[in-house]
Amino acid sequence: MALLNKELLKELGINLSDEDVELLSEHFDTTLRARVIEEIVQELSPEQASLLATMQSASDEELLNWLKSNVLDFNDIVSDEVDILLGELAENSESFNKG
Amino acid sequence: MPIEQLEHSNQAQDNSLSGEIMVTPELEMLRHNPVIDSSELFSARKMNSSEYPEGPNVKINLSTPIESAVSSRSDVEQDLMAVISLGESVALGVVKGKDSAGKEVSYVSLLNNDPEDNGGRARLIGVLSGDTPISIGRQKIEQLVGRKGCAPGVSGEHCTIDLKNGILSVQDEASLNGTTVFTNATKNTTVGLPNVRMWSQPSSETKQLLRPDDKNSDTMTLKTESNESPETSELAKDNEARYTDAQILGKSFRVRRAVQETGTQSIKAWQGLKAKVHNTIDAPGKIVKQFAYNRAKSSHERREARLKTATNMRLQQKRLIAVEKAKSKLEQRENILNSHTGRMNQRVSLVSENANRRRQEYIDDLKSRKQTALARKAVREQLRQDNATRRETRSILAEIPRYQLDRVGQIAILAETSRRLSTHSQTTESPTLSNRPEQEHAKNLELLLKQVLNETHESEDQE
Repeated sequence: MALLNKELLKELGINLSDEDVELLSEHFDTTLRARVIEEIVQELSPEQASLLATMQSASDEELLNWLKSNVLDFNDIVSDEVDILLGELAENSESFNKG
Repeated sequence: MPIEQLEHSNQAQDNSLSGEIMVTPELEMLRHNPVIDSSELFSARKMNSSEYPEGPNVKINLSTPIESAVSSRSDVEQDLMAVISLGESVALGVVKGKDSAGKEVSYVSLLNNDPEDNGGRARLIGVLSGDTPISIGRQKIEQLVGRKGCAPGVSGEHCTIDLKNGILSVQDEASLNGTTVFTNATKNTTVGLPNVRMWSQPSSETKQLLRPDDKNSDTMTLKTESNESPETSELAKDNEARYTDAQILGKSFRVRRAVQETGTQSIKAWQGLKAKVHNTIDAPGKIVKQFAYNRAKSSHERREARLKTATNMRLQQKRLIAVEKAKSKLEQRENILNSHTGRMNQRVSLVSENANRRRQEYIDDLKSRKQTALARKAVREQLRQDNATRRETRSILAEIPRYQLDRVGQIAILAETSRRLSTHSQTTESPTLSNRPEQEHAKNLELLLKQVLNETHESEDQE
């Protein structure tokens, strides 16, 4: 399920068509993913980066566990990036309503 | 029925029909009823403290009800045991509810002079549990009703009520206008109050009070509310709306709590429903007032026309007085009608005002969270600045395929999404609202997308 959905947008007072919601949600996810990766990468040591490079065949669960145990403040990093992006959306919601 | 009582009964009915007052005629009826015993507790401020060291108070054994409110459709019996008058415009009812299993609960209800308030039915103040006396004051009443000025004559700390082993204790705290307690002085006669139902709560509510768990939680809720201080009128308006949400949905406090936990859109939908229901209830009253206004208007016009045809000075003067009188009545009716219409319109406008305020609160909350997150991110960045191994790390990571890194990000976001969804139920409960065409919004969306894309490109360029 997408983090950004129609209900959340309505809570912010943004009423969009289904297509626009899908478009915005997709863009939201892509941007968020890029920012999260950027942050996670910066937290890795060369050894951890080498190890991550060898984990291409690992399952999602294994990868998540590895990230949680190897990336310092992993939960905070992701949560902060979500908060930052949602905050940007909230700031822009005012211009939506003015428009 | 004694003539005196009959006169008061007629007077009360006239007053009810005029739609202006509700409690005063009831109190008058009780005051002049031979069956009723009234205990006048004079104002604590006026009493000599040495004469009454504990302040003016009374203890009465509640054995016979003033009147019984029995519904044939419910197995709950409700007796109005006592009426406590706080001045002439506000009164409290002490009601005992009893179910078929013999369980009993006593509660205090509030009635004021506004027949529009709560649909003309008493509001629940609290349960008399025997170990926690209930204090009544102007602020508490205004908070409960959600409107300033709804408790004329009631002092800040007016009185305290307690009920233990069937003994009602009423203490006048520091009231200016005093307190009067009305009870039935006989053993087996009821008074014959025609409007006894309005003092009690609906059977469904009383049934809830009879359940021990609900009783406690409701009492707790009321206590918490009494400690809140709705200083701003906006908060008072919101409190009124939130309270009446619960009333519309069966006066269930559990529903009210659920309302508070759901999203802005759900609350807006429920408040809209509440406003519609209340306005539907008010519609006949508006028609009656409109009719009264129209009659007063035509009467005024008729008298004005007659004034023009007056032939001599004496007749002219007489008709002028009649015109003035009709004009005064017309103005009075107009004010009543405007007040009624204004109240109905205000209900509707309050719904969108409240929704906008909640939306703004949500936006402010997200902005605030963003600032906190940025601050944390800056700290992490600061800690990383001296890390000499970053370049080496980057060179290793450059060998990892992009799809693998995307997977890392996706997993991280999924984990965060599921965490947030598990703690926030609001996104699952929002009602379906109609979508309107949003061409302007689409344009803004495009701008937003461009803005975010630019940011992404900039960060990529920096890399």
